[in-house]
Amino acid sequence: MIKLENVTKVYKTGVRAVNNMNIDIGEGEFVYVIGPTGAGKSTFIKLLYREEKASSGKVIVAGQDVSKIKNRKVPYFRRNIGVVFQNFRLLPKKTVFENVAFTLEVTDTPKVQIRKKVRRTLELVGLEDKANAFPHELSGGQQQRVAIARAIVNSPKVLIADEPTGNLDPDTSNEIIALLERINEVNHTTILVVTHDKEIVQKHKKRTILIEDGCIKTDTSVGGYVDGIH
Amino acid sequence: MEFISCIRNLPKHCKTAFQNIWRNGVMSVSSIFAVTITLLLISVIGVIAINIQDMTYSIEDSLTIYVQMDREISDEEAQKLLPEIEAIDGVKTATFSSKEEELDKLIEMQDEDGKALFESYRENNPLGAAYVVEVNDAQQIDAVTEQISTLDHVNQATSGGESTHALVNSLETIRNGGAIFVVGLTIIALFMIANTIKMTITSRQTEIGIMRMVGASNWYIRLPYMLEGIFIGLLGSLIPILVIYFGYTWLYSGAVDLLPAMLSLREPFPFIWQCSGIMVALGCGVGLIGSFVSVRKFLKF
Ligand SMILES: Nc1ncnc2c1ncn2[C@@H]1O[C@H](COP(=O)(O)OP(=O)(O)O)[C@@H](O)[C@H]1O
Ligand SMILES: [Mg+2]
Repeated sequence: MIKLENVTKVYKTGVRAVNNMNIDIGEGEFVYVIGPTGAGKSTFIKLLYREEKASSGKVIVAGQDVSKIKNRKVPYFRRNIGVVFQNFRLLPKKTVFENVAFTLEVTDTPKVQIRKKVRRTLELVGLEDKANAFPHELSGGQQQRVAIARAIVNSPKVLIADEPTGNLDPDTSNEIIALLERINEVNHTTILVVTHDKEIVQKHKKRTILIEDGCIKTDTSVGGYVDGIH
Repeated sequence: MEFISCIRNLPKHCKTAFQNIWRNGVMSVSSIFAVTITLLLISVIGVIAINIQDMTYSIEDSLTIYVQMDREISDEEAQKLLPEIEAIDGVKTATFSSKEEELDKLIEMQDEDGKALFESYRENNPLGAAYVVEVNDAQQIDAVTEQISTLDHVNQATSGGESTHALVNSLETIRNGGAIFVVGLTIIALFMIANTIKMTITSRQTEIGIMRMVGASNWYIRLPYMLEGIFIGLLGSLIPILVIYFGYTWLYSGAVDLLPAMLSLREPFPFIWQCSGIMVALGCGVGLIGSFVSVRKFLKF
């Protein structure tokens, strides 16, 4: 589902954020990406949804060579990928329902379908009674659920979450991770979670990739050993 | 393909645009207000300038050359000069007036006694025939007068001399000054509107980022903003149109008895509709282009 071959990303500033990275993530996998601040985790996932372009190497996501996608086609490519951020990034002037529906509206989904899918997704994330609330009326955990609902409502093949629990307390964080696990099980979505939170990684054991200085230091799937997460 | 989908979604985009205007409350009101103020300024100054222009033109149109023919020659002979006068560069019309008509005009201007006195000249008319000549461009009046003076049998050609010359020059200055002022004001105003719109859109940079993240195509993002710009322009032009409509009809009905015909204001209709049309076009056009340009900056990859 996700494949990187000798990928390097050098920013205009000269910072080498990703350095000759190789990785292979299969369909339906649940993977943690961990590592210290500035290690290149965000850059790595930005390469996946074409927020940044690789300087060299090959990035393949959902069967498409990402660096070969024309600018004009990027929006269509992004419809294969759901993205969730630490700061939720909801549209503040839209209701919960509208925020989630937005993903479907841009793809010209018929209205009846939109209503059905949004309702089902809100049920999945446990927010069916907040459909008409505005983001600022919700708690952080609830806002993140809306963001997750928006990311998965169009059944993307891949869901990427960049520190989704960074702004949440431990209990809420656990709920969010449990939700992501459920989505992984129910929808068989490939899920990548970038996190700082060692408790989460230890509690919900999954394949874990440690990135340091733009390189993959360890990968539990290839016999790596992650212990002293700083 | 992408464009067709946008057209199909136009009602939805319109709804989004209205929703954005409504939910952005203060920001929208301030944009609409900026459009209102600038259009009001443009329209009031513009209407004044246009009317002053009209007046200067009608003053200029009233300037004519009075050509007196030698009194010895007959009407028939004097009339032969008509093609020659009309052939002069810059002459718009030349109207012949016979000796008889000249005397009529003279008598018309006298009081009762004078009328009787001049009536006695009817048998042996001492006046010569005359032409009243209109010119295309008031600036040329001196040159044309001079040329006519040199023609055969012309006794005298007068245009009011220096004072006319000075008047024409000052009218020209008023017109040019007014035009420059209005154009300058319009450009400043348009920049103001465009800038306000740019501010409202810059404040929604994150919003655009989110739309792109969920896979909205560029046109899908752009269209609601462009419509929003148009609607803001439209809403902003409402008050100026009302002001012009009621203000100008009121001014016109008040001025119609006060001002001499030469200085009369332009007929309110279709003038008001033309002004309104220009204002709507300005408001919407600037709104549309302003938002298009502002959004474009955030749509680069
Ligand atoms: N847009 C950018 N331009 C230049 N340098 C950047 C940019 N984004 C990130 N970097 C740099 O790249 C490195 C990796 O950053 P990032 O991928 O955000 O790390 P992480 O998410 O692991 O904290 C850092 O040194 C950071 O300063
Ligand atoms: Mg990061």
